[in-house]
Amino acid sequence: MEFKVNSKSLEKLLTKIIPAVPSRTPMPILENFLFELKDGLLTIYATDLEIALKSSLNVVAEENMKLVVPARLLYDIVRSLQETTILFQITPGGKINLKTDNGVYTISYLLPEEFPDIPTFPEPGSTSTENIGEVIISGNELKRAIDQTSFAMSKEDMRPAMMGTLMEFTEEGLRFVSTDGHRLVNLLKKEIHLTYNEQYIVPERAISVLVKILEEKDVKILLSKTYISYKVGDIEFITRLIAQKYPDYKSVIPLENENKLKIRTAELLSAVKRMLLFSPTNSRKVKFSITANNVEISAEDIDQGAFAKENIYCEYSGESIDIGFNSAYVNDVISHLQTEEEIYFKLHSPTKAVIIEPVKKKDNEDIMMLLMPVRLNN
Amino acid sequence: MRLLLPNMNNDIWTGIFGQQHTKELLQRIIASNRIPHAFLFSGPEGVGKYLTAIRFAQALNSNPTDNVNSENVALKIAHHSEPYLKFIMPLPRGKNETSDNTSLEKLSKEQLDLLKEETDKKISNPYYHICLENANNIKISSIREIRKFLSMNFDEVKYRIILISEAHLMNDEAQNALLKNLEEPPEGAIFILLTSNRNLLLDTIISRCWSVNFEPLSTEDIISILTRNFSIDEDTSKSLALFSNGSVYKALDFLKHDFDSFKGKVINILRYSIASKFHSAYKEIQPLISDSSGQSLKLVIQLIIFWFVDVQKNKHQIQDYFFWEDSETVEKFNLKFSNIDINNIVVNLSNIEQAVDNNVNLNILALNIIFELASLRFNRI
Repeated sequence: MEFKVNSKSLEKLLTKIIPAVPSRTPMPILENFLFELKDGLLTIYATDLEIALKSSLNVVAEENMKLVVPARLLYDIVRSLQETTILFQITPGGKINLKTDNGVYTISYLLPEEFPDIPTFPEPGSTSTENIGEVIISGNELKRAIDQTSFAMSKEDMRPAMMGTLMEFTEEGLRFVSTDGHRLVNLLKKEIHLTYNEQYIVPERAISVLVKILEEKDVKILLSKTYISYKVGDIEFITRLIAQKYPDYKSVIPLENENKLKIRTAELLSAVKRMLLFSPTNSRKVKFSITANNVEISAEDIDQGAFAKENIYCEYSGESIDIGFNSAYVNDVISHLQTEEEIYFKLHSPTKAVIIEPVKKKDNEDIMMLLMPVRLNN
Repeated sequence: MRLLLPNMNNDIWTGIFGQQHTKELLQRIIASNRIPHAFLFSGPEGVGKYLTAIRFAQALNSNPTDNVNSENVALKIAHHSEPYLKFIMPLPRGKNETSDNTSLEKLSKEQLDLLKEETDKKISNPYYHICLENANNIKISSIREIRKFLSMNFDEVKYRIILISEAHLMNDEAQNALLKNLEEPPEGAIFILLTSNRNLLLDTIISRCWSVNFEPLSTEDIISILTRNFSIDEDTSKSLALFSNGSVYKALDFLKHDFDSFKGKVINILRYSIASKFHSAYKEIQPLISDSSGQSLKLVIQLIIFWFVDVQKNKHQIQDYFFWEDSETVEKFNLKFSNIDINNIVVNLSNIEQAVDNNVNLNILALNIIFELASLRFNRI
């Protein structure tokens, strides 16, 4: 039993698949690739049970078979080879010989029974009872949406639902929501619809791997209740979903924030970055004193005896107000709105959540960020 | 050794020795189809709690109409494959490990290899006793991993079992972290906690679990396990089984020493101590305290207690001795010291055994044993 494959095309494929291989796992079988050879098509799978990656390439082979090979070792050897043809010879003694023009590399393989099942979606048109959703979205657009929302995901494992990004299909379009209880991002893509409304929570690990494999090309997304598949070119990325209810984020978005502050994003961002240096390391507090046409931003670290303040021009209509924020959170929020020339801060009082959104709205998307203030004790 | 898999149509408890009562109880639970979401398997170490839990998990996830798939799942459960089975056990700490690290993140390559080796042994021989150095508690990060595991959607799996071995080695913080998951696990998640010391568990944990008790194994069962699972010859198995208190682990502990010469040494210690030959007695006992854990010293004490049980048996003309090769010595002892207070000395020796775990200097304990025995001649009733 043997098959041949070009070293560079194999390397390219393994490079895409290897992010799903966990490094320290209680289940050593996961540190392997599953090779499935069927009718001259070699499909390689890797999974850590939460996410799975698979991709295929054509090889010269006469038989069908499945085997499990150590991922790191195979990847490292293939990567270090020059462009050549590798002949895989499978011996009955549990060994594979990788033969090139000048060398033979022998590695052990395992039987496929122990490898976990990779979720699959029923073939289109099959009579499955389960409702499978399907949408197509441009790779760039999805990447941007993830970039803009994923930073606000919670790292606090007491509420697992918040450790993922919500993809919510509604009549208005597809909504990406993430929050950690201190800030919230709510991004609406108006042109993407499903025939029904549903919420899917994609875990953090999936988001971070997905961003790496996204390209410009369109992504086909298949959605079931337990998992989502993203088809990016010849790779399929499958992730489990978080089986929890996403908190009712709509109820925390204030409606009565009538005081609008309009400010230039770049100016504010660079000022906030300087305030980061002066805000105390524990509270990270920065104070915004807002009056008509002027925001005074200040930070003081009493332990270090350091103080800084800056004035920035703005347009503000309401009553003067002093409000405190966590400077790291303000920085996060504004840096993810950098591409906007001007942004609004919609305020109500120093203790109520603040809405931050771009001044110029796009036709096909709507983004809104929410930031909780911190108490100023003067 | 070949991995024994149960035949679902036949006997789901393949490979489990003894525990008849427990098997019947669990069988009834499976038949009722109303499965509690948390179990506490409690009983002495080395009586088959782990294997019972594995078989129970396999039985729950088996589907009588689909044998091939059931077998496949059973194999995965036996290999601790998630999502079917999440296996939690005490782990050593890595260098510079903080509570923010995952449970395996900071372990060295050697520690990981050893962990894998020991787990593999347990998988292929369920009565094997996993021994990892410095694995003294179940980490809070392991408990967090349970939470994460449970939050994922695995609708296609009927039952996901979380098996926590040596659950009493969770500290209070870890136990409290587990509570929330125990209270309201998602559908299909079943906790099985194994413990040999349920007193160390919080009441709040115990009250949320369905208790299942395990008994010490019979001598015959121990012999069968030692010969079949550990390939120990029949004679050795027999003599180990007598002293095992119904626990495979205990029998294996004795096996770490050359058991016959170990027994001989214990008799010598007894002989010298009672004759007030303190120096000779100390010379016998000294090599046994060189391992700083004190485990050997504990075994010595246990054997001495067994010896006193023989003395007691002799008094009542029960011929069934532990030290049957030394029955003459026992008889002579009884002739010479017919009216000593055996209860008292056994209690005192047990206290010394306890002190080993409390980190008392082993030399002092060794001397205590000797003097305790020497005092026999003055402690007549």
